[in-house]
Amino acid sequence: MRKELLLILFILFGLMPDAIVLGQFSKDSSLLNLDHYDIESVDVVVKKMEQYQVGSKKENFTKLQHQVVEQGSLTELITRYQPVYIKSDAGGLASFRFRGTSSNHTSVRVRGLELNSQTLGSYNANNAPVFLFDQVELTFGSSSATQGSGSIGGNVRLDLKNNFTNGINGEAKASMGSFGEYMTGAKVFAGNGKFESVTRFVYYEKENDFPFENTAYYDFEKQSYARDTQKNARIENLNLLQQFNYKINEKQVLSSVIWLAKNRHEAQPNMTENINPNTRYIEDQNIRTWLQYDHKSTMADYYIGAGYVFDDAVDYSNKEQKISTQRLVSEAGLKHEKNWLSSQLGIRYIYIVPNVYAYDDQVVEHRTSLYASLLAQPLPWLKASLNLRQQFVTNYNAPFTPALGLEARLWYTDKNFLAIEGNLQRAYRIPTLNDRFWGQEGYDGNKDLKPEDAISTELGLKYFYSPNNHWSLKLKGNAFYMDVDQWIQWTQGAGGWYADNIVHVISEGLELNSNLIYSIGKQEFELGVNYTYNPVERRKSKLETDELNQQLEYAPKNIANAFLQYVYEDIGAVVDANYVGKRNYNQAGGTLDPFNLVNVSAFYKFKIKREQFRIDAQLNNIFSEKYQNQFQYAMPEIGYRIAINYQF
Amino acid sequence: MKKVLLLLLALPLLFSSCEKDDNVTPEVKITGHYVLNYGSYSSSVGSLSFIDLEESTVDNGVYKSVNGVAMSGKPQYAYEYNGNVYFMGNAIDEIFHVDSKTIKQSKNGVSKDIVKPRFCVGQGDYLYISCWGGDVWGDTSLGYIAKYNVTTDEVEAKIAMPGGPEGLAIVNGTLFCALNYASKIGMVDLANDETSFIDGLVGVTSYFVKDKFDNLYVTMPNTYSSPNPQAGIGYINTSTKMLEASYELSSISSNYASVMALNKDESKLYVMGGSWDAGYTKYSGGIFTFDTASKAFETEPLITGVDGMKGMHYNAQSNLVYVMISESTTANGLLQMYNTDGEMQSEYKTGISPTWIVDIK
Repeated sequence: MRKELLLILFILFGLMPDAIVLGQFSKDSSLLNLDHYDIESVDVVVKKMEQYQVGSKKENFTKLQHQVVEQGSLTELITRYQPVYIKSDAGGLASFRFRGTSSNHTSVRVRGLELNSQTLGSYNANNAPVFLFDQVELTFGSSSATQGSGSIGGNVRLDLKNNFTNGINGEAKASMGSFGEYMTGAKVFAGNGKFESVTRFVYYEKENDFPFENTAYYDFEKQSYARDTQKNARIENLNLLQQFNYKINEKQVLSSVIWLAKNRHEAQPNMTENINPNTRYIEDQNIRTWLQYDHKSTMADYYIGAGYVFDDAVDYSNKEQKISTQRLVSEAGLKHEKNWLSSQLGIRYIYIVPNVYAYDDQVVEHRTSLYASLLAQPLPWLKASLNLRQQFVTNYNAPFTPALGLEARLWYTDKNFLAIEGNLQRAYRIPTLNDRFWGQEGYDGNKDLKPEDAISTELGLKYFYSPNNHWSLKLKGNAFYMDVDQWIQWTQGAGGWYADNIVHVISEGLELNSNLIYSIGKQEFELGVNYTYNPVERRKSKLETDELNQQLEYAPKNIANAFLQYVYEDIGAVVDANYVGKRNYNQAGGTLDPFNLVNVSAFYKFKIKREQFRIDAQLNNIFSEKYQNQFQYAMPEIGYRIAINYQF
Repeated sequence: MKKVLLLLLALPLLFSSCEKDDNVTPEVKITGHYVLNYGSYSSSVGSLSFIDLEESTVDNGVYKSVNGVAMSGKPQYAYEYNGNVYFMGNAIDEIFHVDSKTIKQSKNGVSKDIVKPRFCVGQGDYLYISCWGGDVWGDTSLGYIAKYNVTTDEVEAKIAMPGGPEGLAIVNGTLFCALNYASKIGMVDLANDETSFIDGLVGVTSYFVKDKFDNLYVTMPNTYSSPNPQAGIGYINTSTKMLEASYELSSISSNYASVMALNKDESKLYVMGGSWDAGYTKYSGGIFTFDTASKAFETEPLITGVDGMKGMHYNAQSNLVYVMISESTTANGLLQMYNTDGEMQSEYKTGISPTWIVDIK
């Protein structure tokens, strides 16, 4: 009865994010409570912007999914449960490839800070431990009008809650696994309801000395590939995140984040190099800070935030070659709501000072963005948004970026709900500092690069069905089309690598997400199946030898994953499988075979006196699939992982 | 009886005709070319293309289709000798070989005493392989010549050759060795493996071409590490073992690829050159003609404005000049064929980064 009531309330209040739907819908169900977050209390600034992204596809993760992989990194979480391709080696380096785009077309954010390197443009998804964050939300497709430069293919938001804890609670976790993997982490929430301190800590190490079949070394005398052991691929990540939150009163909140990271890995030798490898340590040191003041009033809400970021990449093979940037970031916004109309105005300023050995010039960059957003809900079944952004960059012209989004409820009954959503927007990416200033002997970068310029549109249908207290079904289908011009490509000319606006790329496709939940008594099942079909091709190129109308490199046309969860009181099990289709690793016919990874995990929760514990056991890649995610980079076969979690 | 007499009369003619045949190298009809593709620096896979001139087709996966696996990467050079084609592999530092008729590899590559192999020439049971020996740009003393026994597939000796040994040629028992990190040319007396040098060059050298007098043309490029204001070609008198003359061609290619070839009657030497764009990123190449009689470069290049030019070749049978192109290391390369008026006749798509043509006899 309560579920039906909630559904009616949901319909009455119009369209709301799916996570909230399920969260509300499942309060009687311990599995659903366990699996779905309520995102209400998450990160205020970003949420303000998210409200205006009407018609964009967003996905997040159930609590159980989060827990299964919280010993690992963002790469593991996303590739297991969402049909998103991440190009990765065996744990050192991973880059997002949302909707066929490249590594610097996805922006990763925490609070008001962008985590992407200002020199490279990309973010290493292996450097974000899942345990550190409360939730991860993915936005598929372009969102430059709300998120700024770079958000052409997608956006990843790492959420930290402000709980305003009263008392002390927290959790600690330790795990170990195959190939010398150890992880330990802790979160401590302490506060008096008004002031809160949240301390999060994760240490992760992995020797990564796994056996594999070396396809770069064929033994012609034995007529077989050699078995080998991965060498020099050790990973050692250390992350400490501290939040201080202060609720001045019900209308004013001051919140802050300090995130210190030291992520060190040996650059994994490829299969050829593994025969006689060198040791090359790469270390990313980051200091990220953000302070924010939020004020609510009857007239208007406003917020002011400021942060400082220091990113330092140390290559231990030549420590003298500095690659670091410092950033000052500030943002202020004003939000006004009246009846069915909500509007927001904001300004964001970034001051970047790089210290990079390969830049010939003394580069300092100022970036200022002005943005305005409008959200209208004139009818209970209709919602529309308009976002406008103009960025100003030192000695550079950034394009004006509008975005229009729409959601409309088409049909609803007490058991069914159907809605359509869509958007049309312009997106862009300012060339990275490396793109423009990285020099080499006789070459001092390409300062004439144009920004990448994209037009992106998508159309989606969402269907929700809940016939009774036991069943609920969610289906989502999105078709998208993205036209990216002036795509910047690094090309190895005879004189070395150089960046240029080389190609015009069109990415289009279809994404299907489905989720079925069945609960009876204390037993609960959840089945999820997701699929992406994504042709992405060069349509024009400056290079005569580029292959046009051929699938882009490292962009699988087909990706799918599925998971089945079962929970009975304090025990549970998850089976998940993910399939990545054939990928081209060059334009000359080199392809990587499809692969299919199947993982199983189980957990058991118990109490000793009043202390809560949870034990997890996992077998990953249970069929020992031999595969390559990146050409000639070995990946582990079957492996185990066990973990214990203590909550207090 | 008359028939017997006629036969007797004809016998000397028969013998003289045999003698003549023995002295003239029979002209082998070239029906196709193998193209060695270096591949991309990072992907560590090379390839061998076969261009069928009769059918005007190209197969870019010859090695893989025969052997079932991709060819070991970064092959710096390939050389046919004694029924095998030997490859200088730089992904794994190794020498590996295939049967020249079948392209089948049946033995594993040899890595022992092979470090950064560059080029080779054969004589008797031996291949002489120039090896950088390591990071030659940091330590020029590392270079050596590996004396590789083709019957045992073992390196029998390492002859020190500091200075980044590159192209090689054997003339009258002397191994001439171009040095890419020293302004001199190395020589090895193959009778006793003793080394000596032609000193006093203005710049470094890369590759040789032997003419009908058994003398050597040598490329003398301008490189990043060794600027050469008088870049061009040199002419080595192999009898006196002296650099007899040098001829300037400031834009001569410093690529590690086939960059120079004599035409059929050796009246012309085709040399690859070119220029860099303003950003110093793209090498737009051309083919320049050196008149071996007047000892001068022709004023106008034979071919010009070729983007991404990587190497060249001359087909004596068809009198065509080939240009190998690599605009990007993730995409196929091109092989373009030009007549001696500089007009393009045909074009083939090769593997990634084509560098050398291997004509298998």
